[in-house]
This record gives sequence, structure tokens and C-alpha cells, in this order.
Amino acid sequence: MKGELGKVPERPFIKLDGVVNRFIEVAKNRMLLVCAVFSFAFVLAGLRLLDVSVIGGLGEPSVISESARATLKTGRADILDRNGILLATSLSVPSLYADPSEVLDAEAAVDALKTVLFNLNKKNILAKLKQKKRFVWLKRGLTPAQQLKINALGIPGFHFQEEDRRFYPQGRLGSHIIGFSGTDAVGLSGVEKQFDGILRDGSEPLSLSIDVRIQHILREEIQKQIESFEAIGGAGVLLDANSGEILGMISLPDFDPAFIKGASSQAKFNTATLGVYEMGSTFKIFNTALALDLGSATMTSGYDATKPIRIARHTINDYRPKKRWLSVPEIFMYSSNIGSAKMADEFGSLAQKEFMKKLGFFNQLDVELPERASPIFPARWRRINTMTISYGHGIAVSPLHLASGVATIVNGGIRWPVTILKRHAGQKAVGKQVISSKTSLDMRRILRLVVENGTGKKASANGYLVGGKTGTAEKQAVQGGYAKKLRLSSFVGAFPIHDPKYVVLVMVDEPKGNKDSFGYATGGWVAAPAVKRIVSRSAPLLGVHPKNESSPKIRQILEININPGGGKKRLASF
Amino acid sequence: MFRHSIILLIFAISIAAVGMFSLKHEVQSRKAKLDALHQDIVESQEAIRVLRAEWSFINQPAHIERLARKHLGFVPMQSHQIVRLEELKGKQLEIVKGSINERGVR
Repeated sequence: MKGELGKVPERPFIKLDGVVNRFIEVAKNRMLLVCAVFSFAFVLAGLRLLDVSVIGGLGEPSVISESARATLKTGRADILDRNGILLATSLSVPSLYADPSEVLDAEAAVDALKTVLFNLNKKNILAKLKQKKRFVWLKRGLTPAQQLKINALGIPGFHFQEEDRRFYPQGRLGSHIIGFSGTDAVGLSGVEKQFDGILRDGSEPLSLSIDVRIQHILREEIQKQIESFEAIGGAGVLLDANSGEILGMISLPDFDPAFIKGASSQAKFNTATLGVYEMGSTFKIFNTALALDLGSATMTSGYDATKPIRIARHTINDYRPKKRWLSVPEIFMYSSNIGSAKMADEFGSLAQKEFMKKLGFFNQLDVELPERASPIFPARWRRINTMTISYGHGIAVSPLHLASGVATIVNGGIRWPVTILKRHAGQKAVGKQVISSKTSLDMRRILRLVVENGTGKKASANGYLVGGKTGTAEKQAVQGGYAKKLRLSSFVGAFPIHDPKYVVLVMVDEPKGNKDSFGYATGGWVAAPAVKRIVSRSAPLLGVHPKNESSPKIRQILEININPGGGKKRLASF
Repeated sequence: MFRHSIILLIFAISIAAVGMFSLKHEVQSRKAKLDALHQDIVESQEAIRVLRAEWSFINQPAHIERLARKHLGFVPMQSHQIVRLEELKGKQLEIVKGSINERGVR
């Protein structure tokens, strides 16, 4: 090759050749590099392909978990009872809406719709369809059957949209506690309101402390009393004495959350937590407990109940005057107002006020419900107030306050915060010691005495050792003063009283005496029999075993010396 | 040598391409399947929710009580009907013995 090109002057050609060669060299090198890079990439891609398709993805999980994508998103979390029974849930239901601009013949459309939805207001719907909007709700919350029928009508411009709707499968049971929420899933009362935020963005169900079976028993038994005594309402509470958990709480009349629009304000009112009442004789529990705890009275001391007390234009009298000296257990058993007032007068206003405060009777309860009552108590605590408060007049608290107070007295003297939420195992609230365990034991003994020999005999559920106190308060008349005929009859107690597990409260509002009760409408006649039935039915469900009430072991725990007349030697203040 | 490597390369590329497409297809069909399964799961969950609500509804204590009274003749339990195992110690033998004697045979 070089030989043929001999004529050409060598130097420049060589130079040129050198340049070209250099370019070619560079180009070749670059090509090679690119080729190498590409083949390397292709080899990598090929290997990876082999890896994922043939070998099966080394290091890759063979099953990809995608559970997060598959969970159903609902508007609100479920509410359960303590045993996991569904109390409130959200389901998606079809709602009917219309685009008025698409509706051809509004009149005919409404007529057709009325064949499925009978109680539709024709005027109302027509007005809606004539609006210049692109969207009007016609009927929210259809049943699947209604949806099918409306769809079959084939009206142009009518459409469906799935919407979340709240359902309360247990109906009236616990409706005051659970509360209800509006059409746009906003909690309006009860737990639904209190925990609105948590329910809205949580998918974890909320477990309440209530038990639907206990709810049912309370409701049925108190309803029975309301009917037979023609009362206007009632309330019932069943409380765990040692944890403050509410196992059952009802208020009658009640409402069905599915028909909330038809419910009266009276039915929607939660008597047990929002109503405040002068509780009457059941307050003697606190009066006696305080006197025993302070030591201003002992189980053997006595007070003169021969004559009514006249103070500041008031007369304090007994319902059934014994007209003699009474011992502390006797005062309690016969529910003597005179004796109680004298006991209170001895320890005085300051101690009483302090004690009521410790029991939580000056504040709203800490229960997790928006419907909480503020108690009513005298601003100026005079001697007369101290005397009337000793037997439950002049201070008004909610039934739940009363039940919580009694739990404190009988459980060894510790006040637990009452709760509507289920306490999980190991989750223990902080309690406060209010009275000594010795006083608590004495109180259990005299509470048992009331049921064995006193006004509460009808509450005795055989085998379950009920102990408690009856109360018959006169309601304040609208015009002021007390109405003799309008009463609030109640019974509050605990069982089994030798080792209290549960506190039960029954209250019946304005009962009227009937033939069977010989005209009586007192706590002993109206509320006590309901307590007996409630305890007999619920104790087996709560795991409380019946005991032989006259066994020596139990007799020994509940041993009490009534000591008639009390120690006359120790003169009371008057 | 060069020609051979070219042919080999083209062969490898076509294998890779076919592999790639079939893999993509497989992934797509599996994804569709997964989506359908997800849809199914959500529908089943919705159905379970409805059924749970219905179950709770028909298990209302009042309803159960009515049915138990009507069909089974059940009444609320009395305290004397409840006996604990410990209380039966010793007693049980007598009862069994007595019943055998009275009836003669078991």
C-alpha cells in the first residue's frame, strides 16, 4: 500500500495520515467504550431478567403484603359493649339525589317516586326539582329494596350515592350512653359526642364498660315498676364497686336512636347523669358513715328521737316516729330523720361540707359523657342545712353521684373515678381513701340490717346478700316548698354485702301507690322489689355465686348489735 | 467470529425481549387479579359489617328472652338452681346411690 503511494510527498501525507489515524483511533476507542458500556448494561438487564423470571427474584418476598390497601374505610369506628357486642356501627347505604336539569317531567317523576316512597311530601320534592341547581338530595338512607325499585322506575336525572350511615343494632338499650350522631356523621350526644374525634379517625372499635344483658335487665325491671306504679320515669345504675366501671345505666323513658326525630326531649334526657335530685333517706348512708368515721358517734351511741326538732321555722319529723331513744343502727334501720339530724348537728357543718366534697358531691362526675350534671348545694351552709342534708334534703345530686358515693362507702372507703370505658386487665385507676376500712365494714353491717329487718326487706335477693338503703324524697313543687304527693322513691345498695362487688341503684320518679302496695309508693315498696329482681337475674351473669345467707362465716362478718335505745348515758347535744 | 457474536447477540436480545414482554404481561394480569381480590375483600368486609350489625340486632336480649320463653319455656334462673362443684363433694355419691336404689336400674 505504501509503495503505490510513493510519489506523493511523504511528510504532509504522513502528517495527514497520522491525524486521520488519530481520529479513527479515538473514534474506535469511543465506540469500544460505548459498546462495552452497552453490552455491560444489556448483560446486567439480561441477568436481572433471568433473575426475576427464571430464578424467581432472589431476596424478593414471594408474597407481597398489601393488607393496608384492602381495608374498608368507614366514616366512624364501631362502639362495642364490654363483651364485644356491637352497639354502634357505620354501614354504607344508598341515598337518592337528582340533577334537576336532567329531569324531564318533574310532576310525573314525583308521582312515580311516590309509588315506592309512600310518605314523600310531593310539594316539597317538586320545589326541590324546580331549583336551578345541579344537585338536590331527595331521600337519604334508602333500604336496598327501595333502591332496587327506584332504579327500576328508570327516571332520568335520578341518581344514587353511597353514604355512610350510623346504625345502633341494640336499639334502645344504652341509647343514653351511646348517644347518637347526625346524618353527616357528627356525634351529637353521649359517647358519640364525647369521643367524636377518636371515633372519626380511628378504625379500632371503642369498648365501653356496659354489658347489654345488664342494660336489658335494668330496663325491663324498672319499666315494670314504672308501669305498675304509674310513674313518670326512672333510672337505674349498676356499678362495679371496686373499679368504678359502669356495667349498666338506664334512664326511662328512653328513645330509639333510629327514630331520633320522633323522640321527646324528656326521652332524650339522661336522668342518671344529667338529672339532679334531692335523694332523701339514701343520704343517711353518708351521714352515718361520716359520724362513725369521725368517731362523733359509735355503733352503740344513741340519740333522742322522742320529739320532732323545731328549728328556724322548720319541723324535722320522722315518717314513722318511734318516739324514743334510738341507737345508731336503729336510726339507720328505721330511717329516722330526727336521729340523723342530731347526729349531723354533733359533727357540724364544716365536717359535713368537707365530706361531701371528698365524695365528689360538689362537682360534675368524671364520667366520659357530655351529659353531666352539676350538683346543687347551699351557698351558705347553715345549721338548718346541715340538719336537712343529713337525711338528703337541701342538696341535689345525680343518681350516678349517689351510686358512686355508695360504692366508696362499701368498698373499703376508696373513691374510684366512675367510667363508661372498659378498663383493660392491668389498667387500674387511682382511687382516694375517703373513709377508713373499719367504718366501711360497720356501714356494710348496718346496710345489711336494713334489708334483713328494716325498710328494705323487699330487696332481699336470696343468696346474694343484698345490703342497702331505701329513700323516699318529696319533690320540690314548682311553686316552691315540698309536694307531699310527688315523690322520688329509690333504693341504693350493694351485693354481696359481706364483700361488695357491685352497687345497684334504682330510682322511680313520681310513683303512685296501688292496691298491691296498699297505697304505698315508698322506696321500700317501689324500688326495693326491682332491686331484688335485678340482683337475682344479673348476679349469675356477673359471676357472683349465691351463698348460704345464714352460714356462720357470713353471720360473723355481718354480726351487728342493734343495742336498742343506744347508750342513754351518753347524752346527745339535745 | 465477529459474525457469530452478532448472531448470538441478536439471539440473546430477542430472547430478552420475549422474556421481558411475557414478564410484563404476567405482572399485568396478576395485578388485575390482585385488584379484583382487593375489590372482593372490601366487598366481603362490607358484607361482614352488615352481618355483624344484623347479628347484634337479632341478639337483642329482649328478643332472645322472648324466643327462649316461647320455644324453650325458659325462665330466669333462681339462686337455688346454682350449685358449685365444691359444694357437691360428698353429697354427689348419696344422690347417685339413692336414685339407683329407687329405680332399681339405671
